[in-house]
Amino acid sequence: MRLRLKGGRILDPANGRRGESGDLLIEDGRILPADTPPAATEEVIDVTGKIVMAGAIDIHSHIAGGKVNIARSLMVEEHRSNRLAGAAGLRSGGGLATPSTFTTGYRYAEMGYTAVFEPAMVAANARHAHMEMADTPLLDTGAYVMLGNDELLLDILAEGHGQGAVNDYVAWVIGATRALGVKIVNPGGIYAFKHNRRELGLDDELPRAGLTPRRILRSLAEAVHTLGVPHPLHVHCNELGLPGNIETTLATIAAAEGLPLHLTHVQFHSYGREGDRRFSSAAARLAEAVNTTPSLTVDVGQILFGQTVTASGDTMSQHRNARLADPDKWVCMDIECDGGCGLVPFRYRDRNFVNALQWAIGLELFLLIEDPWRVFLTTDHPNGAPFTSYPHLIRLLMDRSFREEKLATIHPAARAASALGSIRREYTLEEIAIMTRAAPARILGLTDRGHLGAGAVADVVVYTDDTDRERMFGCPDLVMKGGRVVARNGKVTEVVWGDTHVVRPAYDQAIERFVGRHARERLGLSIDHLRLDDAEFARERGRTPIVHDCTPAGGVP
Amino acid sequence: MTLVLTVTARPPHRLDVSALLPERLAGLTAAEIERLPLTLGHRRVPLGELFAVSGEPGESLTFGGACDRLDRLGAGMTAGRILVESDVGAEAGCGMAGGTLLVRGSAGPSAGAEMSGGLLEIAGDAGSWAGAGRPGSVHGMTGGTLLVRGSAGERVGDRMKRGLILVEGDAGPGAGSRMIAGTLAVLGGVAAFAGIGMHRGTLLFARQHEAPATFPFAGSHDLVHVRLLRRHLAGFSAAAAAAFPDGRPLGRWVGCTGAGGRGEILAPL
Amino acid sequence: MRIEGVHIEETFAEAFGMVGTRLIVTADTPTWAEHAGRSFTGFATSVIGCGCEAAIERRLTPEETPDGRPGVAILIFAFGPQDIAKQLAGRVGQCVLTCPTTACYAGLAADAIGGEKVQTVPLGRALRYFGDGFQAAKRIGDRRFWRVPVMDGEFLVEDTIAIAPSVGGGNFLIVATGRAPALAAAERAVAAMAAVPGVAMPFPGGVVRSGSKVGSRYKGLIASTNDAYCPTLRAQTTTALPPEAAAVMEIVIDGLSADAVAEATRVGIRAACAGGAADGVLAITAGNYGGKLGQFHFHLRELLA
Repeated sequence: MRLRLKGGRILDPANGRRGESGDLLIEDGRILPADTPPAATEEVIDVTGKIVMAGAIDIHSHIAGGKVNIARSLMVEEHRSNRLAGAAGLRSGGGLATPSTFTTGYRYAEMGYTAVFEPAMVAANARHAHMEMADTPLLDTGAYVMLGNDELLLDILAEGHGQGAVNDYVAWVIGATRALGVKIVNPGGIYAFKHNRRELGLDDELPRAGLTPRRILRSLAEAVHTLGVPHPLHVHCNELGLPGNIETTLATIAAAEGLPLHLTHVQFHSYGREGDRRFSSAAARLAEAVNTTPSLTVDVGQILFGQTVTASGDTMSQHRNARLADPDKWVCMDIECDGGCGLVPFRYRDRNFVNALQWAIGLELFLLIEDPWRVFLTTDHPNGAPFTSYPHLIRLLMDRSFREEKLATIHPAARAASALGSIRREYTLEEIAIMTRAAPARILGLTDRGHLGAGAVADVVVYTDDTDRERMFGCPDLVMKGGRVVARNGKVTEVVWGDTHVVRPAYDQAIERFVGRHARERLGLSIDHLRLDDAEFARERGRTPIVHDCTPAGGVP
Repeated sequence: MTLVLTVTARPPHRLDVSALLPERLAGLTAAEIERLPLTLGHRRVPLGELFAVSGEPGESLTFGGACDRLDRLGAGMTAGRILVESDVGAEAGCGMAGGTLLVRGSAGPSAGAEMSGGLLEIAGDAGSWAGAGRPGSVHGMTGGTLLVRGSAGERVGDRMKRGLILVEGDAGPGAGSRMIAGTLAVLGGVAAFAGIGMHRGTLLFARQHEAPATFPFAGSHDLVHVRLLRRHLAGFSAAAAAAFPDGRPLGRWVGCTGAGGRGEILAPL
Repeated sequence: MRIEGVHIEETFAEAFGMVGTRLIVTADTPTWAEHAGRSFTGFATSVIGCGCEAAIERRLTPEETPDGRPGVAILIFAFGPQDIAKQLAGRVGQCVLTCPTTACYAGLAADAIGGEKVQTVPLGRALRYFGDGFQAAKRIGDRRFWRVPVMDGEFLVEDTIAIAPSVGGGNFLIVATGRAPALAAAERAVAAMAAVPGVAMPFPGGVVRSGSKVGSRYKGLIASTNDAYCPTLRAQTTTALPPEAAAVMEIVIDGLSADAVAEATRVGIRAACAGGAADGVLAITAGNYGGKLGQFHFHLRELLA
């Protein structure tokens, strides 16, 4: 059955459509060319005057894996106070900052999101992460595997096996864990933490001869690039949250030596050390670096005021933050010598100077980075705020008077220390469409998502144009996933299942001997335990992952 | 005006009745109350299927019949009076902030857990974790009074922050463990590990007690605050008033040193 | 008007609004409670010179105190909440905390004051730091206490204390034919007034002989001797005394309410007059400032009618 969305104003930046009225034709879950002749029978949905966009894509949101589940058990209060009964095809669930898998899918879909990517999958926990993603309805999912603090990579680097071995190992891990990309968290810092280090700068030596964060970072960035993984190395810099960390962040950009890099939650990495309180905004410097470095993309990790929980692989920074835990309980743990995990409940307060300035720094970054194709809308869910606050964030970006109203209520010293009040920019709808649809699809290498061109998967969202952008983006008229209407007026009406996105770069099989020995000698496991089999998940939902092409790069810039 | 809900047949599963508070039912007719949906297992059933409704809704609510499978009874209540004529299930009076809940029988685990006000009186025994926090919560009881006329199970008053617990019978292992502050008085015997991990607060025992090794002995004293506690307890319990005669010194053990705590166990030598 | 032949002047006592409260101090024995009470109420005769006015209201039996030990009830009055808080901290800190075996309670139940929103001031909250970190709070029922470790055990003190709008400076004067009859009448009056709850007579033994007037011939002195009532100045000033008067004693009354002050005035005057003119008491009068300064006027003849 063919479906015609009739008369909508189509905002599809990837295909240069800027809101002109037109019809969208959908058949078999995909979008047909606009010039397709009318069919004999068409179901028509009249969306005259409405805004039509592709489904939104969140490139960085902690929705699955060990730490998310630990965060759920840590945040018992919100699960007790937010219990959702199952109804009419929907499963029960609960939670706010740490929603259950089903609730995660419902809440995202109700806001018009159709794809969400888990950014911190520990290889040892990959099975768990995929199991949870397979239980998250309505969304396409994928994950970036965390490397850079794992014993094996450090062995390869320290023992001088060469970049080729690093490339093979990275490719093997990506394939074995069904990852879409590679993330590095506090390069070397989690490893160093386990050896009693509490800070680690980019050029500080690890407790392992010859290794520095710079070297690990450079080597991984090169591996990801050489293997042709579409998404550049996803970097959570050293020194998260420390005043003055802007220097490390800028040095990290330089350390890539022109290799493509994605810096994540840069809000937490754009801090200066000026002023009476030795804490200041360095958003302008970071924005300047982004504006002048075309190989660089970032997501912001905006904080918004209220209760949440911070969940990170960065044991070093989470251990430092533990004293701020509210409620006063936290978890920091090692995961199989493979990575770390730190969970600290947090309540961001507008009357707290540091929190208020963090809020302003995030918004400054959004507004000072010029190219919406290279900055993505995230709260680093749940670290800065639950993803359910995206509509509010969009309104802050699109509505200057609303922004200034909020600015007037924050800690006065933070207000005075921020340039936010002098920034006039307001995001346009088109820029929002770029930032939440077209650009994330492009940076992840998803060719048939994030746009409404012929052949694209019919993930479509219809909004009523409303000057209250929070209301508009919080409650789309219609959300379609793969050509099926799954939500109307901000409520899920039907549950379908999304796809899993992976890449499978080629590698020299010889690396398996190396990995196998590590598994056997250090973990007491067979290498087969580490490798996920599609069949394990096919049993769950009857689907196989979508494998995206890797085009190995010719050389290193 | 008392509304009486009598269990007509003991439910086959646990039944969460936290929605059935006097303040919530006060404005409803008997017919409306009978139609209220309850979750039984994976089914929704109207209240009338499980309870006979009589009397008149108001400040007071009585549960009759076999209530031992009713969980979270009186949970979150802020006012009014609830009487349970039999045993009751888990988390009775959990999180209650005011009003009175009287259980004629015994209560299951976590009775009065995280309560912040009001009076919960259990004529029989209390299960484990009475007046404690629920799993994952930072605090147990933060106010109010919990009276257990019988004995209390393990970990009574765990992580308690404020308020008063009086156990007229015995207390199980780990009484007052991880206590942050508040008062737990026990008239009967107290099992091992009392006060383990406690930060502050008072464990007041009427019988001789061997304090854990993490509680160094701090001498024998006639302390004025015990006189005040006795007079306060006398308002609820003649046995408590008799158990702590004025002028009799009590041994004082301070801890838990394992947690850097400065709480106290007071017991006769 | 005459009572037992004693002339009651057609005049009124003029009193002022203050804040006041009741403190209960207990100890292991009545003696040590008394020591604490005496020490606390020392140098507390006049708010102008001492910062507050205070006196032991009465002795308490063990059955009457919160902890079942003997005690004393103390009333203290000052101009405002901050003044009384400062006086409480200083006096409890120096005279009760220091006194063996004592404990210190708020004696004015917040709900008993009623009516307006009750104001409280810190008591133990201000003193607890003496415990150097070893102090501990204890909540019992609705009340909160501090346990401050001291060398004989623990000093227990209530966290805060409710204060009440009060009346200060109620008074009457006994005019007599000589010092002995004046003093005997004043002592009778004070003894009788001690049974009235909620009042304190802050001067030594409840009696003051140095009645004052406002102002002085010396610059900077705001009050000076009340020459019109000084029997030796009869020839030098315009006297207010009858020719046969040779001594005058004043009783100053502070109370937690105007009713309490009125009752004490009534009881006191009747007791002073009990022996009649035959005992040498000539007249009862009262001090005022023409009625312009104080909110409370106690007309003697109305009170005694």
